Amino acid sequence: MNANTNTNRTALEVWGMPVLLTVMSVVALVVGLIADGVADIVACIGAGAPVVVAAWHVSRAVMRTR
Amino acid sequence: MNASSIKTWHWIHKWTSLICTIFALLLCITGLPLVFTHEIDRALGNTVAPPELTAAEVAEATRPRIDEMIDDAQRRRPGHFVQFLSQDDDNKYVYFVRLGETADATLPSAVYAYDGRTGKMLSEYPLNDGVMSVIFRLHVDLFAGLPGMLFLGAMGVILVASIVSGVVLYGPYMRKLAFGSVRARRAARILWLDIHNLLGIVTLGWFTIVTVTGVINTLSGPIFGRWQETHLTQMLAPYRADGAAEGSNVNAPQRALEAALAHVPDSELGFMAFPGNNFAGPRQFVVFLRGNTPLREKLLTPVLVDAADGRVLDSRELPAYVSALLISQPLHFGDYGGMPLKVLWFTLDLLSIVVLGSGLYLWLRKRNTSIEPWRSPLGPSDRAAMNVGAST
Repeated sequence: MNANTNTNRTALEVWGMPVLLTVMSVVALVVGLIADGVADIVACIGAGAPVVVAAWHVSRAVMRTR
Repeated sequence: MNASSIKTWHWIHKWTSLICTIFALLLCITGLPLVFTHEIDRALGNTVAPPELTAAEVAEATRPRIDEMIDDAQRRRPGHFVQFLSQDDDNKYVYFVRLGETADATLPSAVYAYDGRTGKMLSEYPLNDGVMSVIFRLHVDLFAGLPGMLFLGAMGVILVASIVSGVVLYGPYMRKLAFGSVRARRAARILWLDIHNLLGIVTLGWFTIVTVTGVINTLSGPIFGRWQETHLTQMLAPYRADGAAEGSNVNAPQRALEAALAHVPDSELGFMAFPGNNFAGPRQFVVFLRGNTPLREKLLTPVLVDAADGRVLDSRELPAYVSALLISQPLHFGDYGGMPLKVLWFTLDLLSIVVLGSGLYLWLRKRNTSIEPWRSPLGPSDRAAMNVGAST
């Protein structure tokens, strides 16, 4: 995937991941609050996804500079 | 989005951020250790785990020894008043008794932890000393009481505006970039802009929840104040003529608690306010019961109990604005999903610190580059070259 192109990206390309991650983490955090057990695992996965995604992209960038 | 509206949003993002960033950084940094308050208290010996009981002791521990705990607390601080009894939500055997110099004093004079099964004191919670209490005050009210809390609440509202404007700007910035682009080989400013955008957008959900619930928490004083002026006053209206009780406000708390528990099925003690306290009546306990399902345990039902004869006088659901506060608290603290969720809270807090720090860095860099040509004795062509370098 080329990071920088001159063509404009579609709304889906720009907003797909942000909307997905935001909805996922908010729903997961609320689910964890209103139920216990499995819901707490769901909360951690949903709220943890943004951290994993960020770590993945930053580490990839760091690797490329080496 | 056209150039002029981008410019407007830029202006909003810059100024809302400039106003609140330093406070948001303070809140995020002090928030890091506060996520682990419970663990740190345990490690410092501020709280201790209740001991394993022998079989004989277990057999004897049929019901919590409320009266014994309260009597013991009273003996340790003669002349002081028991204000609240609460049950630890992590360990149902642990009870806390809070005393004050008066029944309605804002600050406690002592907080004791008890083992409810034996009625024995476990530990005294240290008040207003140590680095954690400094961190706590910095996070909650900047050592300035209610005005400090409300000020931090206002900063939180401005932070929400900063987040919203940041999200609006994310679109135009990412128009030509793939999601997650981090241009590590480019100028430091570009690299940090990408990191600011990436971390800012992935933490959007969490950071917004924590900011909004934090703002709601800053209103806890006024929210409970409103409840006291309306609901509690109405519940106490029939007994207003009775006046305050003479002497001690401790009158068979166990009987009062058991009456309240019998009145509301499937409930357990959240906390209990003693007569004379702002949360209770002059001669009445108010027992705040929580439900025993995951959602209901965050909410409270107040039960008014006559201290003289242990009779339940009244019980009314809390109004929605108090329930909203009670629901906001766990969403702010991240203490409802065990250790994994706490670690996640800590990590997301760290990412938010990077977002705030990189935002501040980007502003400083941009400011310096625009001031530099004016101050430096370079010729016009050098200046133009610098500006090009700074803007790519």
